[in-house]
Amino acid sequence: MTLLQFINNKLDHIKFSNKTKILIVIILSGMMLIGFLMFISIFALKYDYESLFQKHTLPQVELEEIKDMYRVNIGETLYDIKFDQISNGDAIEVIFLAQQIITKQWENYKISIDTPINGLPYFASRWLNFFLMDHNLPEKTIFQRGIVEKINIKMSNIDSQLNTILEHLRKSRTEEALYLIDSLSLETNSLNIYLSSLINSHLKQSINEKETNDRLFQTSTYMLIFLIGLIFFFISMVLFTIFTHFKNLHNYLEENISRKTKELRLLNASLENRIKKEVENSRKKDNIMFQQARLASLGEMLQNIAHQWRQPLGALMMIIQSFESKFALGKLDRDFINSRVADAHLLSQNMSDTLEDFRTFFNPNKSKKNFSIKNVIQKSIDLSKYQLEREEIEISLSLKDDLEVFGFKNELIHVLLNLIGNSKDILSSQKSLDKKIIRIIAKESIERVYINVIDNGGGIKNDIIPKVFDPYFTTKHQSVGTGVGLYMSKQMVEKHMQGHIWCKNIKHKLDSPSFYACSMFTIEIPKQTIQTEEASDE
Amino acid sequence: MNKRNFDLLGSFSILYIEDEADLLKHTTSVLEDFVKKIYPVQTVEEALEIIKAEKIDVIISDIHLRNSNGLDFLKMLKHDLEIEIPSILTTAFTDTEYLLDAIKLHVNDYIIKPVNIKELLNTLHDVLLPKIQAKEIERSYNIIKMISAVTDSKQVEIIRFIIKNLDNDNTLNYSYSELMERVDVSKPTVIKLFKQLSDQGILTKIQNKKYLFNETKLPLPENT
Repeated sequence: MTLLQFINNKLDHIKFSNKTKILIVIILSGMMLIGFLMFISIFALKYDYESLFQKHTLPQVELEEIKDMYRVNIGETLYDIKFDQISNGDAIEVIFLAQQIITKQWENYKISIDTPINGLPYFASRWLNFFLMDHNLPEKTIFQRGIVEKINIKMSNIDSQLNTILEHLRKSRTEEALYLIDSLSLETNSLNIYLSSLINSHLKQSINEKETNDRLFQTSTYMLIFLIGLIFFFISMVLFTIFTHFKNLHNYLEENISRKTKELRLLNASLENRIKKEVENSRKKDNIMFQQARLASLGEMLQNIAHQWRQPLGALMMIIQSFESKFALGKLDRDFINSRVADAHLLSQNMSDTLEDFRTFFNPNKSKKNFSIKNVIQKSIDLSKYQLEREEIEISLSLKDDLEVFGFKNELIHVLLNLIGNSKDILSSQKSLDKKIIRIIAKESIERVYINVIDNGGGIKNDIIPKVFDPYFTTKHQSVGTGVGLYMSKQMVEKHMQGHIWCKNIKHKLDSPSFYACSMFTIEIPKQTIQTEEASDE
Repeated sequence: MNKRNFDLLGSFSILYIEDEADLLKHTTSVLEDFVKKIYPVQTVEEALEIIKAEKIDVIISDIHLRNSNGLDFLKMLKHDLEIEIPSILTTAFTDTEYLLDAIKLHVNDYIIKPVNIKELLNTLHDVLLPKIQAKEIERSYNIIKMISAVTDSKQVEIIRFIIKNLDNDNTLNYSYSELMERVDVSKPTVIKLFKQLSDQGILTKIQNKKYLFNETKLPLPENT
């Protein structure tokens, strides 16, 4: 048992591939061993069979025939001669023939006894006997040898007597022959007895051999069974270890998988939490982003206000200073004062109007109204005029008839301002352009209004076209662009106006002789937005 | 307002380019009290016509004009038409991107809007001062020439020599004989002149061959 455990332990520590190798070696060597043993056994059996046939059955036949010859041919003939029932000549003939046959048969007997059975069966038998530690039976017993010796002597005796009888007969000395015949009958009888005992001994021997044979067969069968059992045992042992190996592996893997699954589940749970958090964060970020964008456009608006205020402010300052200077020169009269006060009033009224415009833009009433597309576009142009003039950009509007749309007026202005602002930014970076042009073209179909904003700033690079509406995507320097403008525009157009916005690159003449590479943003909005859809404040 | 004498501006003509009608009107109404003539225009084209037709002493131009640029206009005047007129730029932009161009063009000054009238007048004065001074010098020169025509020309020549050869310490390092050799005058004339000058403290002898010129002792000219 300890050995078994030892082997088991050893096997446990061997690699799986080596285990299979061992298994295969055991199976192969076991098969070879069994095969070898079977061959040996078969050949040994064949040897036994052959030796039984050649050394015992065949000699028995020969001996039986010899015996018959002596009794029938010789004995009977001699008896016939005695009672004179046969002619001498015939008798001589018969005996002579019988003699020859006997000699022949005896020779045959000796040959078959003495001729060893060689070849594979012999070796197999030898080997098996050696292996089984079975001592070999002597081929011929001493008893047999003695009998054979005696038979030999008896036969030569009978032969010589027969020859004398035959001599007598030939010379027709019947009396002497008769005399000899009597003694010869005795001799043949005794020879026959010898022969019979020889046959008996052969029979006995063959019975003996049969027994050995049985034993041999039995032992080799046992051995085979033992061997097969042994091999089966080893195979099942190795198989068992392999099986346990598999079982262990399976258990290990199952455990591993369940652990990993657990980890994954945990990870999943934490990921879900994180996603929730991130979504929350991104919503917050979005809000901040919208605020930023609002602030950015607020800043731009402020710049516009600043500019639109700067002009009348300068004039007002000048009017005030002119009072001082006219007074110093003594030229301050009523007419002058009246005209200047009137001017100043106009100027301040203008300033107040400007302020009101921006105030309504940034505190928009959220209700939908019918509004004129032309007015909206014109207002957008006015609001961005200062910056466009500063960059020496021409802006023009082309629209056949004024169109009426129902919706949020200020949001459309916001979107247009974004688009104009983008065009302005790209145009201001194009120093080599001879003419910087932004053109807004408004068209209508039966149900929809299309507003195209075209600039000759060279178009948008193809690889970024799909990304321009993404949040935080910007080609501008960090300090200039927040990357929110177009995203917000898209949100407003799609969610609040139920419209679409897209962009593409086109070639356009823009009233010049050559074609410009242009980018075109198109806003498509339905003339009647669906009433039930209420715009929500972001 | 009285630090500088703005009466000096009264003899000059100004071209004022400003695209904003209100500002143009009011600034013009202030400036026209100080200068001989002001030409208010809103566009570069009008300005060019004025320049071709009239004698303009100084240009005041806004940088940002409708469809154009004051700097480009000045550049064209200077490089293409080769007209050199002093110029003042006004601008609403506080950024400096035009400043470099302005310096390159030798623009005389740069005024940030809203325009302060005093600042504008001061600037006009400073810009026109070289012109005023050139006129003054020319006039003085003419006075001297007239004096030398009616008085002893030898004395005037000696005085001119003395003034010309003063060193940095306002001293003259010449002896009478050297002076006589250089100016070719008689000794009595020199002695007489030197005596007159030293009597009034204008030219005092420090040592031999060294005379100190005292500017403050010169009689004040009548205010012109």
